[in-house]
Amino acid sequence: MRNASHEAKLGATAQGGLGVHVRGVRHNFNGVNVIGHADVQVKSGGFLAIVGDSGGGKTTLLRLIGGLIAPSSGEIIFTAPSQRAANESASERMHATTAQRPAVGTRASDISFCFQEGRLLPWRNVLENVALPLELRGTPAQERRDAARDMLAKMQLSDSENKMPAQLSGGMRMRVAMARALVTRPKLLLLDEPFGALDEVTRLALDEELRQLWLDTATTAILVTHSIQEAVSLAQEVVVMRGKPGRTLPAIVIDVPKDAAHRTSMQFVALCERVYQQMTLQTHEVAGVAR
Amino acid sequence: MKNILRVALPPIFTAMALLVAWEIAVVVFKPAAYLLPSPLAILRAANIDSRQLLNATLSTAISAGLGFVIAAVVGMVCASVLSQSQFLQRGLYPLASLFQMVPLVAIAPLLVIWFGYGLSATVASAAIVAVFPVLANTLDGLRSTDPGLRELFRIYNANRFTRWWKLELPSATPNIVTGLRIAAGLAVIGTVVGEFVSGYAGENAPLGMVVLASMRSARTDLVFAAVALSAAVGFILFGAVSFLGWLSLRKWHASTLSR
Ligand SMILES: Nc1ncnc2c1ncn2[C@@H]1O[C@H](COP(=O)(O)OP(=O)(O)OP(=O)(O)O)[C@@H](O)[C@H]1O
Ligand SMILES: [Mg+2]
Repeated sequence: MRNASHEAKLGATAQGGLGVHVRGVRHNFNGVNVIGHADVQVKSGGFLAIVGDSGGGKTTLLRLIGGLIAPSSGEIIFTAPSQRAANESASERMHATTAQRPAVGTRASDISFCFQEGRLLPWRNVLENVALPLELRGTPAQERRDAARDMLAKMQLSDSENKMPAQLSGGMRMRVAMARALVTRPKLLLLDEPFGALDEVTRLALDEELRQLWLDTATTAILVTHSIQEAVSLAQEVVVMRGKPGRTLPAIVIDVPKDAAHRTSMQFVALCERVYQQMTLQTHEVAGVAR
Repeated sequence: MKNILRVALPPIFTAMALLVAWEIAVVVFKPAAYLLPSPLAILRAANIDSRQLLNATLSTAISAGLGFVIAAVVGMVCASVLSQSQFLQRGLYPLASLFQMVPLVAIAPLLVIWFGYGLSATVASAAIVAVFPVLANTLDGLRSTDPGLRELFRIYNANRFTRWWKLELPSATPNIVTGLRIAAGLAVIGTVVGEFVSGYAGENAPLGMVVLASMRSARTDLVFAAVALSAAVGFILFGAVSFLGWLSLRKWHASTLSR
């Protein structure tokens, strides 16, 4: 096993989204191997979906990419489209045993997370929740409120800015969480089953909103989801993660047009079928495909 | 308004019923006045000595109030400091819990030795009993902050102070309110215990002294009046703290939301 390393090459003045390259990443939690081997690539401004077994290490992979924990081995490289090599911040000394306390310095403020549970502060109203990331960055009050209102308008939440999280429906809560993730204009958006707990109708609507936002903001997006259909309908590429410890399978390129009717097209169904096949491979077959 | 009545009426009604039963029992069984005076007799005695009782109540209330405020501030500050360091927590918290086991009555004389007769000793006595519930509950609340929210703050690179001020403290508010409510009642108990030993008399003799003096002169009616008044002080302090707690939680916490 090689030395743990987590390289972050970030262009400070980069336009558009970050490119992400996860290369041969392996991760242990307290000596237990959770991710056996992960190879994932998203180009700048791309949309990647990750699907797979429960407990297969998808959330862990997302946290590795976000710099919340450092990989036991392998590397994660970020590339900015307009700038080649920029400041290189490495956390060579991070080992699996110390990974519970992540290296704060290596985290780029260009990365945003959106969690399944929303993670809103229950004592703050919607507006203040959305403005939180900017507040913690030291953005002046008026400026951050304006930015938060902008974002809320995009998510059709303008009427609810004074509501408390407990007064929101599940779908609204997720939209607030999404607005908060986007308010910093991230170059990389990490979504961990954001709509997992919602009903199908709400989910379809939010999928469409997410796709629109991704198109508008030119951010790179990585979406972890349990829904094959969601993955295929949103992403440009789908990566299946299988087994314990988890391994990534080669990406499936999604080359269907993303219009409203595509979910019923033959092509769409065929792609879902391919993803489904990878998800139901036997364990010994996984090892064959993954290498 | 309707809600307040629904909550307040049953206990008021029960209390009235008990008082009436007590009055009737005294009229029927005629116990000696120094054993058990009737509620009306207590009221009459209180009315005659109203000036002294009012001064005493004020004096006790000031001491309990000051002790409570000191306990609240010290408890919250100490809990905040302890919550930031595992080492301090392991080292100091067991000692604090141990200290809590020492009977207040036993250390009250010490307080008089250190603070002299008078207000400072009773305030200290109130603060000492009231501080631990604030400390323990606040610490509990600070430590049980949702790990998901902690991670969120880590993602945004929040420093320790920001995390404490904007995350841990607000999320601990329900626990802090619980601690303060317990402390409110204890502060009055601590004050009266302190008054028993500190023995400051004269114009502003507090309720604890009124109890002692009335007992010695077999004025059981005044004893009852003073006891009732000290309970009232505790009740008002508790009510005020509960109200403030409700105000700070009403918008978001499950205990106050009607849904
Ligand atoms: N902080 C941690 N410490 C120790 N083990 C962990 C930790 N986080 C996750 N694990 C373990 O790593 C494995 C992968 O977890 P992970 O949350 O990444 O799975 P997942 O693919 O996101 O699953 P799901 O689809 O159910 O969300 C699990 O076996 C889990 O128990
Ligand atoms: Mg997960």
